[in-house]
Amino acid sequence: MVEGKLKSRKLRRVYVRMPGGETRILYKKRIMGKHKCGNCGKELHGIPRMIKSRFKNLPKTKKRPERPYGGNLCSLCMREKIKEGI
Amino acid sequence: MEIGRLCIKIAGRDAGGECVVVEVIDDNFVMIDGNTRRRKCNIMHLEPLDKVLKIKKNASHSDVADAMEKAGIKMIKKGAARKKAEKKKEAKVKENKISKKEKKK
Repeated sequence: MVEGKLKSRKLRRVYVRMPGGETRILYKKRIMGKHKCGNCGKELHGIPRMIKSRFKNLPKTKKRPERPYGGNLCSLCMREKIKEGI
Repeated sequence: MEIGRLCIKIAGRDAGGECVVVEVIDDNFVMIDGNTRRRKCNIMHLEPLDKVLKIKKNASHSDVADAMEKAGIKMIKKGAARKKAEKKKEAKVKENKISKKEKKK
């Protein structure tokens, strides 16, 4: 019987065939969810999806697009937001 | 789009910055300068405002900056100019702190 923390589905299961021929289940951390636009809910581009601890170690410029509201709004919603401010 | 038209850039990393059309290249592209980098830009990436500044064709950055400040738009200093301004501010703050301490004594 596996440990309780492994049964809770907090970790994802990866089936791996070992050199000896048996298949084993490896328990790995889950990949973070897709980022979405705060206005329209569309999936955002330019944000890499990986394990969160690895994502944190990336430089800022690789975590989000380099424009105003980058990583929060999609480009179209950002344009509308800027036009509202005029 | 004519030369001197004040716009706001709505795409890319310069988005939100005011700029002036310096040169009309063809139906789709113009040259811009101002609170953005001086670069070729698609007309679809610009939101025109109702002001037209008086500048010459291919005006230099300093000319554009003067015209924009006359029109009441603050120029954001970038690069070396910004660092200089920041250093001056820091020096002033330090002086104020020292003078306050002396007063207390």
